[in-house]
Amino acid sequence: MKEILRVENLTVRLPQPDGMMTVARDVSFSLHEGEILCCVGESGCGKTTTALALTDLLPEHSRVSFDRLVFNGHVAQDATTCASWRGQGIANIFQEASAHLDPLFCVGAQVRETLITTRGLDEEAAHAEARRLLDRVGLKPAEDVERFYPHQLSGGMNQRVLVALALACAPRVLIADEPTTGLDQALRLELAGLIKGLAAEKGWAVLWITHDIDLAEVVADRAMVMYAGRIVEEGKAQDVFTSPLHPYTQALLACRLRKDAAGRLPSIYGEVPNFRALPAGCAFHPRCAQRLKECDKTIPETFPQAGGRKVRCYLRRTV
Amino acid sequence: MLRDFSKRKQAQFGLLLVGLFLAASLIGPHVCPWQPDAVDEAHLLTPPGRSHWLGTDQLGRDILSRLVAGARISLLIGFVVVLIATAVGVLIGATAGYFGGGVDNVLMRLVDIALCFPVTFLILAVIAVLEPSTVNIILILGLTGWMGQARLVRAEVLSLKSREFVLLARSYGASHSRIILRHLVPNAAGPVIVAAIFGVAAAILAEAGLSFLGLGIQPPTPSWGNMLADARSTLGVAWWQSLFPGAAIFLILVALNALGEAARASLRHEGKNYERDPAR
Amino acid sequence: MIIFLAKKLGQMVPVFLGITVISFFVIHLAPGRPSDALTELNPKVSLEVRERLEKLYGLDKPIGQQYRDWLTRIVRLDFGASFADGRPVTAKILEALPVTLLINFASLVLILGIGIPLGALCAVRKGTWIDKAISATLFLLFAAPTFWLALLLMDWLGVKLGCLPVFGIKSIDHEYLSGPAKVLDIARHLVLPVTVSTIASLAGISRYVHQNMVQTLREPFVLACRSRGLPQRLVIYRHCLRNALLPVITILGLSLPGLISGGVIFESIFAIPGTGRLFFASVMARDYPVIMAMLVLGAVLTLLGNFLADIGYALADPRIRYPKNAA
Repeated sequence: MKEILRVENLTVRLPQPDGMMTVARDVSFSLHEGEILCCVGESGCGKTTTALALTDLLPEHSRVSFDRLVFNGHVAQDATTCASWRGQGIANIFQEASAHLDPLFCVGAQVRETLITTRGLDEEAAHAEARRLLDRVGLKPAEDVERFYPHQLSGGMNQRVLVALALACAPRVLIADEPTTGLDQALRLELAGLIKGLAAEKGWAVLWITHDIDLAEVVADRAMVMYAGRIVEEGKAQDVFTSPLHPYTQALLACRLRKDAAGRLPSIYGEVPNFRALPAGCAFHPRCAQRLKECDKTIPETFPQAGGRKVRCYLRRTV
Repeated sequence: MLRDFSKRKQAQFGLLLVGLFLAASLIGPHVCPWQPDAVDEAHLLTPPGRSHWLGTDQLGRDILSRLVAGARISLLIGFVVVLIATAVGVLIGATAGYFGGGVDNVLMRLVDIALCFPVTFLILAVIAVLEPSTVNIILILGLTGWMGQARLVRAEVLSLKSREFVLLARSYGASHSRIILRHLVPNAAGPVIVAAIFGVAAAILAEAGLSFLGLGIQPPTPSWGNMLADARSTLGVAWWQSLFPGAAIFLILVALNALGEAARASLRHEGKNYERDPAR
Repeated sequence: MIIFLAKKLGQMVPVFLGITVISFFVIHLAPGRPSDALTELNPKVSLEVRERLEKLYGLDKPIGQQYRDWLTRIVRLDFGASFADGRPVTAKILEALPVTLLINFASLVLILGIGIPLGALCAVRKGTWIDKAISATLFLLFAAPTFWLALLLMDWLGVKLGCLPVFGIKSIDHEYLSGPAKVLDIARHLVLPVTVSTIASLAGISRYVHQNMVQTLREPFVLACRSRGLPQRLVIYRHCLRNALLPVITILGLSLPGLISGGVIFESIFAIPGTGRLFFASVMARDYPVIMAMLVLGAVLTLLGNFLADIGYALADPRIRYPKNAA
């Protein structure tokens, strides 16, 4: 499958009242057409920041640096190149759909607006196409739904509107930042199914961010795990979820709501580190039961494994 | 919060100016060479010079000493008015918020009614009806300025009412008034203080306006407002007469506004997350 | 939404009554009797005449009765006759209204036309020197007392440079001017008052818009709009501004009473024959019918203004116009 987006050593620093804070470090991955890459990790590990950085949507005064960032053959010189990719090949959908829609415009108008501005359609064509898109995402009958305002629709329906808006951009890459979080279980699967179906149909490359591992298991083709701003493991979804190689991934998977042998809910010892006070060496080592001598000295590089897998851990060091 | 406040440049600037005015009003009258109503017949309407640093008015009175005397009156009125307005406002607002229901309804209707009147009209009407005197002015200004505080306090009390510490106090039998005064009001202090600072500015301005119209501090007692009124008849001829009193009002207002802004900003930062959580 | 508005109207009634009560009794706070205003300065007025006057004005009836009589008259917009010159109060007010309306309307247009863009500009360019410079200037203007600014401007532009007239709204020879010249004459007289009036409120609106804009810019939907590649101008003018200006409608409604109540100090300085000066003159002359009438009118207009602001908001904000319903 064709590689459509390549990220090499992306580092993001965000402005804070007490100075810049590095939130994502040396993040590298690539997206391929027709493939869904899930990015999993606990809240606050840097997933969203990475996603926003790809199209320069971070807050003002943020600092983004990378070795290489290529989309559809275009090499990015700096952040402004990334900005030009918004809606022109890369589309975003977000968590909390209702908050991401302008409350003063009906949903039909918002879809039409995107069609007219980013795809250059004229009014009439936009009307028809907007209805078609709303219908495609399951909002039927479109003629009625398009006149509603976001506050009149449910969270799930608004999320479908966001998907329709993404469709309107005719993207090649879709960045989905926790699109199903906060929805009811049934809705969650429905929506996930919708997005996955559309991705397969249009051949999208999808970066799907979630902290719900169960969901990731269902939708992902490939998976990457983030911890404290770094990617610690990457590989085919099946591999990562059934035989995780990094201690953090192992612990994460063990943490899913299943009691262990003694009838207790498992948890990972320790706490997620403060970005300002990261441990020396591997960021996970204080919480790692399998740590080696060198784990608190230097940060492990990413070691390639069999089957196209990568792990950032000295335990898997390839000589 | 105090530390954040004191670090702000606006606060420091404001405090400095207000301090200057306070100092001037307290020690000024003892230091100035001229009495506020002393008439220097040799220097009628003279521009700023050696003997009269800020010039004299058409009656030969030294403007600087009158300014300083006026500072005393204006600051006094400003603070006392706000004291009254805040006391009344806090009382009404806290009662309304705490007891809720019918009491709240009636009190808030009262506030609504009071807020309907164009403030200037009301003040003027009442001052005209009762003769202008310092006490009357203070009373009127105080009694027309409490509504804002009442609403603020009521809002705070409403949100604090159901918090645990109130339930705790009730559970050990604390009386209503004790709860209101010892627990609820101090927690609502922040916004009330900010409003009070702006209130002092408003009161000083109102007094100046009234005096300007002749319905405030009566001559010969100097007030910045009535000094400006005196300047009306010498328009174009004596720039110093209109510049200095007005500048005094302007400066104290700037200082108080700066203080208020700084206080408001400090308050906002208290529990706030500065930037959006970076990795949401 | 009809219910929403009906409820609001219902709440207005007790407030209206309260207004009338206060307006009425404020006057009766005065020591002495209201008829003293008419007879005080004339020692030759006998007791008999005084009694006749009191009967004429219904001042011999019990206070509750007086209030009720007065109330029934004013709801028919009959405010009685002025103590000062006997003319109907309504006529006097209507006479003074146009000038005040003109000045206030002109400055409202300017305030909105200049204040809103300024506020929006500062918000979009937050932190830059433009933002700091404009904010600082507005802060200073906000703090400057209007009557001081008026005096300074009059002194400088009017007297020293002599380019603008400072008093009244017409020149002495106004009657002899041609049609267009008349208009120009009035316009020239209005420049200073309108300027001062505008400066006074400019900072307020600008800061309000600024705050709202800054807050709106942080909303998630703005990020979502930008993520679709919508041009920055579209995002700001179409989406942000509209959301940020919604509360400004409230301000518009609240400025309704301000339109007819002229600034008393302001009209006094510029010798403008508007409602402000009328009120002031009435206050000085203890002309109670006029005072009461203007108090009531001012308060009722505030009430109306609030109501209109509520309607306006309901119309503009679809979240109020269309109640939530699961489609």
